Amino acid sequence: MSRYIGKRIKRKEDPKLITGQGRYVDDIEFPGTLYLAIVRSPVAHATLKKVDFSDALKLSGVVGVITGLNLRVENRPSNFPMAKTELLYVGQPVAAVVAKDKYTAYDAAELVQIDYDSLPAVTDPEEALKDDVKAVEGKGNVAYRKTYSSGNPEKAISEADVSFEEKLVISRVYPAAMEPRGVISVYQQGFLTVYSSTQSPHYMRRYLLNAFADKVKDIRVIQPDVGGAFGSKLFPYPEDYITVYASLLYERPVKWIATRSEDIRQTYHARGQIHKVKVGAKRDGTLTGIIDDLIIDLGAASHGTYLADIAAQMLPGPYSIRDIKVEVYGVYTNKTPLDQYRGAGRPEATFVIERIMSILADELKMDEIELRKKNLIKSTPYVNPFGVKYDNGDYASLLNKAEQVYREMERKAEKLRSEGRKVGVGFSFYLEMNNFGPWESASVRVRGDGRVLVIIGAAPHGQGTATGIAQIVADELGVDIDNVDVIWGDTSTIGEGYGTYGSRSLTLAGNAALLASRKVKEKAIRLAAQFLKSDPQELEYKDGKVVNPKTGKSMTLKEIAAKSMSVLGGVWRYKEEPGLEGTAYFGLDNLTYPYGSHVALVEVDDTGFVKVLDYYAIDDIGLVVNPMLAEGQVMGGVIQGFGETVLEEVIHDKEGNLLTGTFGDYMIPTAVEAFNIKWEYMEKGKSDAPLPAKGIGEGATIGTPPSVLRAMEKAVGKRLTKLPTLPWDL
Amino acid sequence: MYPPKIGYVIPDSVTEALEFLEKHDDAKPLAGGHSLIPMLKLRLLRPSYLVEIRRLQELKYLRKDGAQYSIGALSTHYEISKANIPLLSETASKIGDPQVRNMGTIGGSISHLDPSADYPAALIVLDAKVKVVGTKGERVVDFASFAKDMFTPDLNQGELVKEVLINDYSGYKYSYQKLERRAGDFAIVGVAVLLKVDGEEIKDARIGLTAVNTKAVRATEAENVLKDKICEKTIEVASDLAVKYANPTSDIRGTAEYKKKVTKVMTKRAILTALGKR
Repeated sequence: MSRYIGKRIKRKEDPKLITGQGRYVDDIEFPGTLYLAIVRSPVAHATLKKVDFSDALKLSGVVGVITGLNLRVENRPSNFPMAKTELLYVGQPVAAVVAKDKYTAYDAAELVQIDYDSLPAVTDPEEALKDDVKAVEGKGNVAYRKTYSSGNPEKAISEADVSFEEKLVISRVYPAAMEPRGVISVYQQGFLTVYSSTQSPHYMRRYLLNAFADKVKDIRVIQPDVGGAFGSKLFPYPEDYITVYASLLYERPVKWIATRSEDIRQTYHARGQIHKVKVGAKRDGTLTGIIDDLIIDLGAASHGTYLADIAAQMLPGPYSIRDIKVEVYGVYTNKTPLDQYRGAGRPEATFVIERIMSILADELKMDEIELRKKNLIKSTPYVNPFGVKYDNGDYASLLNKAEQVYREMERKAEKLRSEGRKVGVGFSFYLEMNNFGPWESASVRVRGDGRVLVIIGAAPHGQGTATGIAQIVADELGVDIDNVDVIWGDTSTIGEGYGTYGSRSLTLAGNAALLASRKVKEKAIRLAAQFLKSDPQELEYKDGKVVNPKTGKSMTLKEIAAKSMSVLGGVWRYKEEPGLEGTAYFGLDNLTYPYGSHVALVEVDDTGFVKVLDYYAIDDIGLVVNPMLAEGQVMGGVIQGFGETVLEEVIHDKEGNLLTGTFGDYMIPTAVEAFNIKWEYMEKGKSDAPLPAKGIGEGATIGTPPSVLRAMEKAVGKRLTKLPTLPWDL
Repeated sequence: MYPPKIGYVIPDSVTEALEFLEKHDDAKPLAGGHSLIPMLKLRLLRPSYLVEIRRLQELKYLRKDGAQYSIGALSTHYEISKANIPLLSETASKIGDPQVRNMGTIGGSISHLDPSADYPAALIVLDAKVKVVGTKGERVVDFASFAKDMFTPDLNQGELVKEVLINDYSGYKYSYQKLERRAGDFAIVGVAVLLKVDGEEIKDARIGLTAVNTKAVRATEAENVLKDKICEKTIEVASDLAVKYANPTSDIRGTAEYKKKVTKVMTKRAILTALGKR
C-alpha cells in the first residue's frame, strides 16, 4: 500500500521559493570577492588583431585583464573559452576584466579595445551548406555529415501512389531560464569551491578538473537554488572556465553573473534545424517512404551535432515505416553555438513526422486520425528502422482516447466556424526517448532522532523532484513524508552523480533512493535483531517498524535509530555495525520511451493572432509518482511549446548581428498568453525499473508545436511549415 | 547591464531642479524611470547627472477645473487609468504591465516620446495641451506641436513638462485599441478613436494612430468620411483610409505590410468598440 506514491502531494520545495527565501548564486557573498566582466565580440566574423586593455587597467579598482585564454576542453573548439585569433560570433568572449566591484568591471570592459579586420559572415544554414563563405577560416562549413538509412526509400517513393516534398523549418530559440547563468569561484589554499547555476554539479567538477588539474588539488561544486535551465545549464560554458581561471590566478573569490543581454548572446541557442522531406504513400494511407535532408545550424562550434542524431533516429516516430533515409548535414554559421533545450532532438523529430502525417492526410483527403491508426506500430517492444528499441506501451489505446477528445473539439470547431470564426483543431501523437543515463545515485541516512536525510546525485532546479523522491522513500520506509528531507547539488555530499536532464531524475535517482531505502531496511532489521535479541530471519520490516511476528515485539525505525545513539562515551556492545545508512546507484540498460498526444482548438483572428480556446494532453509515462508534479511539467511545457510555435525566434541579420538581444525583442509567453490545459495520464507503458516510472520533463515541449501549428493551419486554410509561424505569416 | 557612473541630484523643489538642469546640458530628469533606466543600463545614454524629480509634490496632482483636466507631470499611468478621463484613462490602462503603470509617469512618457508609446494617439485626438515650465516661466503648447518628431519633444534645456491639459469629452464615445505581440509590449499599432454621436449620426470624429509613424498622427481623411450617418460602409472606408496615415517600418514586431493591414483592423475595432458595436 502506498501512502504517498501516486498522490498529488504539494511540493516540499515551494514555501522557501515562493516566500523569497531561495538563495541563488548571485545571493552568495564572500569577503574580498572580485567581479568579472566579459568583453565580447561586437561582430560576427573577423580576424582578431589585437586586444588593447591599457586604458582599462588605468581605471581605479581594476585588478587585471585576461585575454587569449585557450584551454583544451573535450568537445569544445580550439578558441575556447576566448577568441584568440578569430572572432566567430557576436557575443563570443574576447577578454575578461576583473575588478573590485561589478560596476567598475563593466566600466573597464568598455575601455578594452578590440582591433579586428572584418571577414564576411554566414548566418543562413542553407547558405553555409554551399560553402561559399567560410564561417570559420580554414575549415569547410560542413562540420558533420552522417547518413541514417533503412530499406530503399527512393524506390518506395518512386512507386508511391502519392508523394510530396516540403521544407520544414524549426527556428533557433533561446532557452530563457528566468535566472541567467552565473558562477562564483572561491579559492582556498589549492582548493576551489565553485557555486554555479548548473544542472549538474558533479559533471561540472569533472570538466573543470580536467582543465585545471595542474593548478588545483580538488574542486567542490555546489549548486545553489537554480531558477530554471531547460537543458541550457548542463554543459560547460566559456565564462565558467574564465571565472575559475581568474580565481586561481588572483587566489581570490571571483564572481561572474550574466546580464540578460549577455545570457541571450552566449547561452547556447537551440533547435535550429531545417528538414527537406520527400514522402511517399499508398492511396490507402500507408506511409511507404521518407527521405529527409536534415540541416542543423550548429553555430560557431560543433558540440550540438548529437541533436541532429537524436532527431534523425527518432524521425520514424510511432509509425511502422521501414524505407527511410535521413541525410544529416551539420553546418557552421557565425552564430552562438547550438546545444540542447527541453526535448533535445525529439521535438524536432516529432514536429517533422507529425507535419508529414497531417500533410499526407490533406494530400490524400483522408481523416488524419485514421491515417495515424493505419501506420501506428501494432506491438512493442519494437526496433525502429534505425535500431532504436522502443520499450513498451499501448499506443493504440492512447490514440483512441485522444481521438475522442479530437472529435469533440472538431464538433465545437464546426459550430464556431458556422458563426464565421476562423478556428481549427490540431492533433499530434508523440513518441520520445528519455532517461538519458547512464545512472544516478542516492544515499538514505536515518539520523539518531529518526529524521531521514536523502541525498541524490540528480540536480533538480525547479521540477519538484525532491517531493517525488521523498514520496518514494517515505513509502518504502513507512515513515511520515514530513520526516524526510531531500538534498542535492553538492559534490561533497555524495560520491558521484550526473544531474538533472533528459527527463531522468525521478526514475533514475528515484530508483536509486528506493534501493538505498531497501538497504536501510535490511540494516534496520539486523540492528533490531540485536536490540530485540532475535534472529534477523525471524524479523520483518513493515509500516516503518521491524516486527517479530512470533513474539509480537517491534521497534520503529526511530526507536532503532535512537537506540543506536544511546550513551555518549559508552561502548558499543552489539554484534552489528552501527549506523542506518544506505547508498545505491541505479541505471537502466535501455532508454525509456514514453508517448502521448496533444489536441488543440485554436482561433486565428483578423490580425493573425492565435488564441488557444481548448487544450488537451495525455501521456503514458509509466508509473506516475506525483500527478500534480507531472501536470505542472505538462503545463509549463505546453506554454513553452506554444511560445516556440507563435512567438519565439532568435533572429540575426545578414551580417550576423543579433536582433533579439533583450527580453523586449525576444518574446516568451507571459501569464496573459497562457491558457487552460486539461491533462490525463495512462500507466500502461511501465519501465523495467523497480519503481516503473519513465519521465515527463520534456514530453509537452515535444507534443505541443505540431498540434498547435496544425490547428493554426486548419484555421487559416494554408499549409504551415515553420516554427514559429508569426501573425504576418498567416 | 549596468549603467555607467552617474551623478545623482535630489532637488528640493521644481525651481531647484530647473536651475540645475539649465546649467548642466547633459543632465537628465528622472521621474518613473521606465524609459530612462533601461537606456542607462544598455548604456545608450550617458548623462552626467540624474536629477530626481519623482518625489516633487508640486508635479503630483490630477484635478478637474470646470471642463478641463490638469494632469501633473508625475501622475502615474496607474493613477490616470483610475481617473475616469474619457479615452486617456483607457489608454493609460493599456500601457506596459502593472509594474510600468505603477512607476511610469505621463510627463516622463511624453518627454521621452517613443514613437510606439500609447499616450500620443490619445493626446492628439483629445487636443491636449502641454504646460512646460522653465526658469524663465511657463508656456503652453498644443501636444501636436510639442511632439516634434520621434524622441524629440519641444523642450529646451532646463525645461520640464509641468502638466498636461485636456478638455472634458464626457458625452463622447471613445476607444483605444492596441495590438501588442504579447502582454506588456509596445504597440504594433495603437488606435485612439473619439466620436461625438447624435442619434444615428457621427458629428465629430477623431482618429489617432501610434507606432506606425515617426510620431502619432491623425487620420483626417478617415475622420471626415466617418462624420456621417453610422453605417458599415463608412466604417469600412474610414478604416481603409486610416492606412494612408501609416508609414511603418519592418522590424521584430511585424513587416511594414502587416502593420498597414492591422492598422485597418485595429481602426475598425476602435470605431466599432467606441460605438458599442463590438
